[in-house]
Amino acid sequence: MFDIQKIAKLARLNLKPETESELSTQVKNILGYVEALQAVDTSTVEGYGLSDASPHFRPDEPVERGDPELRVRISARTQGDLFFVPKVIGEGDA
Amino acid sequence: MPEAISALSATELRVAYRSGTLSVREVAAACLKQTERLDPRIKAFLHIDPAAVLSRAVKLDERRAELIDSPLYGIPVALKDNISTAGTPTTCGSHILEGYIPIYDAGVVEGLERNGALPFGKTNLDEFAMGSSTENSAYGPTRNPWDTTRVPGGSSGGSAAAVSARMVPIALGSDTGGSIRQPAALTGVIGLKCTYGLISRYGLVAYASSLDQIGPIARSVEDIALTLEAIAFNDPRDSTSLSDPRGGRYLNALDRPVTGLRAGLPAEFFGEGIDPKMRTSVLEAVKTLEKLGIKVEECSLPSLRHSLPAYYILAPAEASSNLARFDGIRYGPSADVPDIIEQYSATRGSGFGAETQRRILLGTFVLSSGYYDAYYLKAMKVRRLIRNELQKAFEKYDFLISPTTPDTAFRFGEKTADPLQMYLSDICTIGANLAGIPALSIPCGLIEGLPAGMQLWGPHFGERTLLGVAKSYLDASGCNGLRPQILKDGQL
Amino acid sequence: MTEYELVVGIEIHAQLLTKSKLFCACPNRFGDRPNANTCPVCLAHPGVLPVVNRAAIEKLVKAGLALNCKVNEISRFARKNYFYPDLPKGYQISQYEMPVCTDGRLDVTDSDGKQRTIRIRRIHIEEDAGKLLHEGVRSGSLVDLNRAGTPLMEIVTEPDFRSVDEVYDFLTQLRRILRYLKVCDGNMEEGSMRCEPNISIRPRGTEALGVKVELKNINSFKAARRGIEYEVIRQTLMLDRGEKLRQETRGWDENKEESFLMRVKEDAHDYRYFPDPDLPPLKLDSAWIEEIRKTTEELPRPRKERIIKEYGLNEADADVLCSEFAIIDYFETAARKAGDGKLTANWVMGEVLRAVKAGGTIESFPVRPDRLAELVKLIRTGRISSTIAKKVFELMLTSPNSPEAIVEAEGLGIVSDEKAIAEAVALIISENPEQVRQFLEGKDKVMGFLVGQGMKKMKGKADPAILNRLMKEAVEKSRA
Repeated sequence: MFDIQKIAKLARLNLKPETESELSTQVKNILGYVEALQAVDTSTVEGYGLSDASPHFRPDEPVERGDPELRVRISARTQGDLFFVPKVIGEGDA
Repeated sequence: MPEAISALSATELRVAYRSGTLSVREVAAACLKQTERLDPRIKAFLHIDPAAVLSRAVKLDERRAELIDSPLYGIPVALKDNISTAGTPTTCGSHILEGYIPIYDAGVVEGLERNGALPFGKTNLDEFAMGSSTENSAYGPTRNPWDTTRVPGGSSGGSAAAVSARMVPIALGSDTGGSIRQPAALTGVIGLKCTYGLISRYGLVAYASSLDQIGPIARSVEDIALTLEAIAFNDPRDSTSLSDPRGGRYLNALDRPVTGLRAGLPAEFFGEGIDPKMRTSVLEAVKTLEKLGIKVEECSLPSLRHSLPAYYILAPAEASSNLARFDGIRYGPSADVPDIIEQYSATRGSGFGAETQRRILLGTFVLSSGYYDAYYLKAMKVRRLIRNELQKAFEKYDFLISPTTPDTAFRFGEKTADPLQMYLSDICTIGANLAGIPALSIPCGLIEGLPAGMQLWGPHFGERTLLGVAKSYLDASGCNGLRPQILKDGQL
Repeated sequence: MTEYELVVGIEIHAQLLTKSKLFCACPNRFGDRPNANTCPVCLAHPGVLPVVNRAAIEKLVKAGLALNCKVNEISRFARKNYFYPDLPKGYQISQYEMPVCTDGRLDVTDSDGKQRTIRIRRIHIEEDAGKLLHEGVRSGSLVDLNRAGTPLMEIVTEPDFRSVDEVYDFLTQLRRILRYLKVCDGNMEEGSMRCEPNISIRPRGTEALGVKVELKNINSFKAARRGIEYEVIRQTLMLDRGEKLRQETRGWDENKEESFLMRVKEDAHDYRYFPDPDLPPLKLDSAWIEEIRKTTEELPRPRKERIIKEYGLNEADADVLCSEFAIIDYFETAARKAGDGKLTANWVMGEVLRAVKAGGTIESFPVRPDRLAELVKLIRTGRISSTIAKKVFELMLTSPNSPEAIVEAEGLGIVSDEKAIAEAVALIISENPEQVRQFLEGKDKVMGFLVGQGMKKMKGKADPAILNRLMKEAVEKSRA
């Protein structure tokens, strides 16, 4: 079942304590509403891809991007050409 | 009288430019003046830089000889603030993008500039295009020019209001579940959601990628067609972008005879949940269509009943992933805390508004381990069912007719307490997004002084048929150029 | 005590050797200024969209065909959702339910020469993440996104390995294949090929799989071997002590030579995979696959067979030459130009590899194949002797000049001037009366010594045929 604290953690969202229970009720109501789909017979539906198109492809031609400063400086926290983040401990693909 | 100029359609402006009776600078100044006059009450714009608009206008005057034949030469076009504009703020109506200035232009912005248009400010929207009233904008709601105590609809409420209040002839919106058509209907203007893929999504900040489409809002069908000429192109930077197999030529489509076309009236959109006055208004319009020689008959699309629940699984699912990039690291405000997980959660917790958080939570849940099949996969199958059913209907009909909205513009706060009530505003429009087909909303009269909208649905790449029918209908019905109350106020 | 059997499956991540990234045109190149190779797309600016690099797909298909995979006509991109500062979009574009390649295999040889087939479950394409730098930053980490969005392929085997030697042989062969195909440079130390074994043990003779441990941070072939061996011992000891194994992810500490706990299965992330709505299904029709097949570089095994036939080499020589695609490429380029496979092979296996081993790589070796070919030609046409050729080769290591020019400049060309050779012969005969006498008494072998002395006198440059003839004539003359 919908556990708002677990999902909020997964979604990296700090919820305001005073609205958390209201938010939880609302999401549960919406989940109750969409529950109606379970009754729809979809046994005849083949696949679910929407587009029959192929994706576009790009030729393997590199483009030099120039000075990184233009791209880095729009960040709120930087150090030189790098983005700064609070200490990261542990692995990436964690 | 600035309004006299700013109220001109793009088509009329083109004539004036050709004859040399107006310069782009004069038009820009008139539109700025109208905006200055009315926007303090309407709040359609989040960002506008008059000096930049004027200097661009002067440049366009200088390039007259080169660009005069371009479809949008000298036409002011407002942009919904979820369309990326290099050097101009793009907030998506969210605090999480406060102060963010993009370093690149969206595909449509390039299309507009290539075709001589004058980009004119960024318009208000529900945060990340999630909503039907613009009440979800972090920067305050937009008001309906017909009645400023009412919402203009959403999420492209700012774009629709700016066009309706004659600040600009054309605005671009985006439509994921009705976000162009619903506000167009509620403000008495025309809005088109195109075939999925017809207009590049490159630079449209994604809400639900498989449903999002940019599209035009205008006061005349010709202007809608002109805009398509400029912004409908196959963009190599959008893998879902397509070429119109009929090769564009939208303006030509307006003169096509409509006699003999077949139209279906899906019973599902004329029964429960639709205000009886709205039903009457649309059925009146249908009579006009019949007089034009269109054969209209009732039909049934039972799967369309599942549109709303399918949408509220798929759109939040995609949104939860699309909005993951807003973490304050590379752009946007960032919480200053010593722990990385806390930095993410605090930045996102304070940056996103309530509706966005709701949809992120909902979407995260339906994709989470153990629930994917029951929710996401099921909804995808239902979506396919809806698409198949519509495709089948178009074997029989050239287009379908429904109301655009169940009711006319509602009052502020009327639907904010219960999200589900708000969601029901889109009950007539979501099906076209799920099926990827075009749908056009046109005014079909007033109900108690507020505009009503009729929606025409077409098959994939059926834009030309819809534009032709709309043109014939508006010419015949007198619903062309409905003037909202605020313009009349202004004259008092 | 129970005897345990090792069961291993491996996941390999290989960086694809494309010029640009997987979904944008930024250079796929490392060692540049931080964030120099980034753009709105790989920085995940609001509104950007991915566009697939055709070459990345083609390289993946090449690898798939080489590993006997089925190439699926339709595959899908999926989003793997998780938050981490090196992942700009908050999701990685990968493949989940429908990868490009499935059902492959590769035969491996155990240390006792036994051959077994390892099944390959799938090969899919995905984008790499950026890099975090921790050094010299007090309160945080720094993010460099040059690597973000570069193409990776992930190869997943079935749990078919039963010994460390099989894993080692698989990795060796795989690396060689990927390098031959120019799909990946296979450098484990630099992380362009990363390997994550899933290791479990079970009582020998039983079928059910044991509890597996995924081992990360393997940075070399040696580490793969040591890491698996370590896990076998650790897991065996635990079971012998009656302890229960947990499904967990462990890291390999190369310095301490031990594995350490990273996380247990319960902490596994919920990646919320779903099809990426920004990318329609990837269609690989048979015509495209055929086109890729046709342009695929020759694989190690067929290439070896061919060079044996084409250049008349023996199996052992071919093995040496084919051990590395760079060597075989070097050899073939040189041999074609020189017009003598056998002689070229001897030079590549001898002088060239000896010199390379002393430092450097064959790719950066100063004597390029065309210059070696010229040297071989000089030997073939009798312009210089093999002994002189070695001298010329030494000089070529530091000089950019052609061997011809070096021979010319150093005066190393063969001397065919009969008068000069006759003078040398006369001297040798007068200096070695004893040997001349022995020859005349019937000791034929002494002729070799005399010719050798003559060659020495001529500093190795005398035309051997003329020297032989003149020496014989002179000795016979002294009989009279």
